Amino acid sequence: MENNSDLEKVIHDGLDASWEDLGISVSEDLIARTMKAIEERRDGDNSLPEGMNEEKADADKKARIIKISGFVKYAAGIAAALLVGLVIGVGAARNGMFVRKSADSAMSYNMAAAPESNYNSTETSTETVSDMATEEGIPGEDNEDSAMDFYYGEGDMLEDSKLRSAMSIDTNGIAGDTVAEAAETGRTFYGYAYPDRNYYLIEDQELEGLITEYLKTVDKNLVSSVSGFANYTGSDEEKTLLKLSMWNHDEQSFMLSDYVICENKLYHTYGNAFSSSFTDYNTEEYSLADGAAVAEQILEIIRIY
Amino acid sequence: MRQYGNDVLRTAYSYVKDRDAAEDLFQEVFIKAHYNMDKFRGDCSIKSWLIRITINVCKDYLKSAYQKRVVPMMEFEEDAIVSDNDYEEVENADRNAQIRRAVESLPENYREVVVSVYFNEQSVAETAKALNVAEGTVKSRLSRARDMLKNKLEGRI
Repeated sequence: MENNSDLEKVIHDGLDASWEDLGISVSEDLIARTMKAIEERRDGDNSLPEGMNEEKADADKKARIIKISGFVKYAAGIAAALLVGLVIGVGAARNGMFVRKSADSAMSYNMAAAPESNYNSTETSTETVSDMATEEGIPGEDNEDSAMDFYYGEGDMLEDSKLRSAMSIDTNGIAGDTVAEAAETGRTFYGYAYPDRNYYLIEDQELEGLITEYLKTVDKNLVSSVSGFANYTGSDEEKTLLKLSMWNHDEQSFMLSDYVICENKLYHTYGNAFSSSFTDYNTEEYSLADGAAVAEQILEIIRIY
Repeated sequence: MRQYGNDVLRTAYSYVKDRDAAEDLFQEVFIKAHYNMDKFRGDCSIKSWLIRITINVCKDYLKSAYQKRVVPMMEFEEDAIVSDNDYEEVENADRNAQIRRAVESLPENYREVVVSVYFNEQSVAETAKALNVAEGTVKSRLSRARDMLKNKLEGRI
């Protein structure tokens, strides 16, 4: 036994031979008995033993709930924060949340490749989100107090009683830190939602898949396709019936798919939210035969889900 | 079962030192492996996966209340084995039995790393994963076990 490899070989061979001599070997009879036991235990407790945590974790991955962990969770939180801020900001601007007191202070979003989707607010608008809500038949909410419900939990996103968190965030306070912090709580993170305004932000691939599949069947025609982020490009007269911001992510990407459904228009913006450039998004505008029916059908999918 | 059966059976035996119990555990391992094959992720060999299941099944078995009440016989049957009159074979059998006894006499913490690394030819990393301990722990236990075995076997083989 000069060295460890000699010892290793001696022990290996010694154990092997000794156990062989003792008759500690697999016999055909043992194989047959095991095969029979496998058949008989079809409905028994066949779970892996304790200590096989990896396998448990693996099984957990198959659960529908999407958990974000570690860096991805943090990165996703940041990206979500930026995304939400962007979406809300653009949406708010579009809907007049940012009230300009002077006609001189025109607000313009220059999107190079999307000239038609520029957001120009040269009017002195006093319309606020609460105005919009009232206009849409929703009980009036004061903009200052309007809170956005934050959904996160271990169950179905849309079951309010289970998931509606006590936590609410002021609409104007949608800060990146807040979202990142929430994502870092270690709890399942679904996103934000304004269900009472038909505005849903969804992080659930299965639900996204259902909605996307449904939208493929809708009677619509492509009107234009531009490069650039524009979650809403309808005219002022158009009434927004439903907004959906859906995303899924992995280490490399954070894919956004944003739908705005109006009475006769459907806007689809999609791209990688990790991208630093708006031009990496695409916005497609479709004419829609019956936006109300489409919105209602999607809401039905969400309700059923 | 035919390919890795002996590894599983002998690993189980190294824990329980009882042939019947080892065969029961062998069955348990392959039942679990059969019904959980979809959870095998392919990031280790099938053998390593089976050895991990075996180790965990054995530990569960040893922890069970039944096992606490019934201590398996630890008889050594080398007398029965040595039936060949050929001197060399007798000598080899005796030598192997001494090695086995030496390994079996190690404290469990040391014995399991020896069986895993030396007998099952698992790497330190694989052993650490199977035993749910740090790689450094496996290395130090292996080193201590080696010293003990050298002591026990010195001059005999």
